[in-house]
Amino acid sequence: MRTSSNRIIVYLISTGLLVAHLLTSTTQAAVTAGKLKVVTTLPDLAEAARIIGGGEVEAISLLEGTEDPHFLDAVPSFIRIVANADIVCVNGLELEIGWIPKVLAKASKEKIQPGGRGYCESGRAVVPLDKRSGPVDRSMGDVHPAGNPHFTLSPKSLILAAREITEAMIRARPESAAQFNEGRTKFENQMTALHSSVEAKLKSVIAISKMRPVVIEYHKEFSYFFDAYGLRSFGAIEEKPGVPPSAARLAEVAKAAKSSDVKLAIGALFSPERHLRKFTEISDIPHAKLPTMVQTKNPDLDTIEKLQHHIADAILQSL
Amino acid sequence: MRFGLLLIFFLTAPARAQSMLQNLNVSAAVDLVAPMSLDDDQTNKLSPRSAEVLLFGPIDDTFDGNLNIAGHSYDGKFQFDLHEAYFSSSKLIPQSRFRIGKFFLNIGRLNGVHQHDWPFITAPKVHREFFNPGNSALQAEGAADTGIEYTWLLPTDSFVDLTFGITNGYCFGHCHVEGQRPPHPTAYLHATTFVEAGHQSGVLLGASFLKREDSSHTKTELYGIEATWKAREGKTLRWLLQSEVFLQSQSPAAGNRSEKIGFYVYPQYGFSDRFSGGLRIDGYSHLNLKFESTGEKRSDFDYAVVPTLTYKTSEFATVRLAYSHAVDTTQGSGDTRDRQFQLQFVYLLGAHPAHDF
Repeated sequence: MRTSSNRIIVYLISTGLLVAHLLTSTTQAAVTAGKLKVVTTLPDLAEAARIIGGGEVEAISLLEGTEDPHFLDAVPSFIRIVANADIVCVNGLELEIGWIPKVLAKASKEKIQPGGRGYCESGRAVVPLDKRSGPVDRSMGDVHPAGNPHFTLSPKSLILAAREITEAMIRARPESAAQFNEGRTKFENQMTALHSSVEAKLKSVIAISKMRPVVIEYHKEFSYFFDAYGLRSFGAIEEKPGVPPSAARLAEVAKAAKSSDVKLAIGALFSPERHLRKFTEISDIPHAKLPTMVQTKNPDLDTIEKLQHHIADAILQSL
Repeated sequence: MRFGLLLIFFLTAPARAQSMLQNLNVSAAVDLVAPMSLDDDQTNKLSPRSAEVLLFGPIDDTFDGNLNIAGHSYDGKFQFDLHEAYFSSSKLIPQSRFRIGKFFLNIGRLNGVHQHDWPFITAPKVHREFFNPGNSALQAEGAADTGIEYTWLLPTDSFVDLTFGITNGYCFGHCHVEGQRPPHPTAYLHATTFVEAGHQSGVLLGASFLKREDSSHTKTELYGIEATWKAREGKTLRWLLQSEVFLQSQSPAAGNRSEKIGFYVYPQYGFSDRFSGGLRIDGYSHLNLKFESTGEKRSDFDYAVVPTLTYKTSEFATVRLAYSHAVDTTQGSGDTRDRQFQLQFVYLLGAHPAHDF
């Protein structure tokens, strides 16, 4: 009786493994024959991948752009999407550290896991802002030791990130290297032109910025935007990243920002409204909640270009 | 205890440990609880329920390793024991992952989640009776065993994850003794699927089956279904609804088969990213309980209502307050009532693994 049961169990496992192998092999073969499937965490990176890959690539983003990318769960639908990918491009610099490792592990595909040919960490090529030296611990808040990860708001940083995406595509499909390099040049040209046009739009703000800070941000999510265009920021309303400011901190920073004639406080869509409202009440400085990523479901903000102009317009309106 | 000292060495010398051990992640979780019973004040005290040290990281480019040593109070003494020790891989077989060693079985919802990560303080009665028989509500954690677990992500358009597991089955639950060799190993199945319900919202549905026979030839079959719904708004988990229902059928070598059923349902609302409130309702019944004297059916229904408030200063520190009102009603025995306030403090140090759904 015991031997019989053991045989049945061994049989079931062996059959399961065999069927799993056959089915997944079939799926992989089907994927390889079609377009290169690139999955990115952020929509901005998906847009870059689409331009670089052209007709060879189908790029989708896990996020729609309204989420707080620090705080997500390893949603099973993400796992399913990632399991079908040839390439997975993450933002990196630990932005998605709370959820993407689980998604990648549960997708159970060797090549898209860290170290695999299809894994790409786009932030690796970026020169990070706010990189800490010395020991870092949680008493300092949600500090990213590798530096500020919100680089997608800088066209210049996106150009650097595009290198990583291009290299991942070439690794996956070397025969299309020329096309991918051409796509990368196209993306670089687009980003350079975009930078120039937004810089021209912000000319008056940039001039004021040479004398004093014009903006303040709730969390350091817009730092790369300010850095890209030479806008001086008063800093962050948060005293420590990821930690809501105390009443004393709010009062202190609001009064200091007011005396420096800061024109606008900027928060992300998911920044706490009550802290921003309180800041405005104390300082009389208006606040705006702006997207930090391309919004895939909003036709007015569904490209990097529209997003850049939207942020620039919001700053201009505050003057 | 030696394990504990070794791990304290790592925790107090992180720089040295990091340079020596490269990618080894070290995490510690301490769970302090203070039950304040209104009916029996003998157990009213603040004490560490568990202190857990977790080491995890890649072994090489194919395998990952996990070692979890937890200290907790058992038989009046605080002692460390091995909770989990397994190696795993999600790279060797396409769309499959497996683990080999000692682990908490991937069946149901609560059993796969470490106690300090639960959204409430104590185990619902169904979980305690079916997965941790013999443990109190406060101590019950989950069923761990040594064996092999294989999970296959089906190549379907929607998410379907299928887990098969076989473990030694010498002992079932949270055992501090080796147990005796059973006639068959413990075997289980767990299937989960996910239904999206709007952006950043979805329901994870699961079904479990476990079969085992212990050394005294008592056969146990466990059937379960579970549902977990989460809706997130930015940093805030706005809604959580978690529920499990299990039916246990047990046939001793001599005597009658018993059937027991239990469930819990826990809705929770997040007022902000730091503050949330929930209400757990538990139910449990021995379906075919009979009077020994007459053999007539004896009604049995136990229930509990557990409102819970949670405050988190970050994902690494939690303060929780709950009130548990539990009533056992068995026909002919009168009602037994247990009313208890509970306070919990959880803190996590070091690297914490990424979050599951």
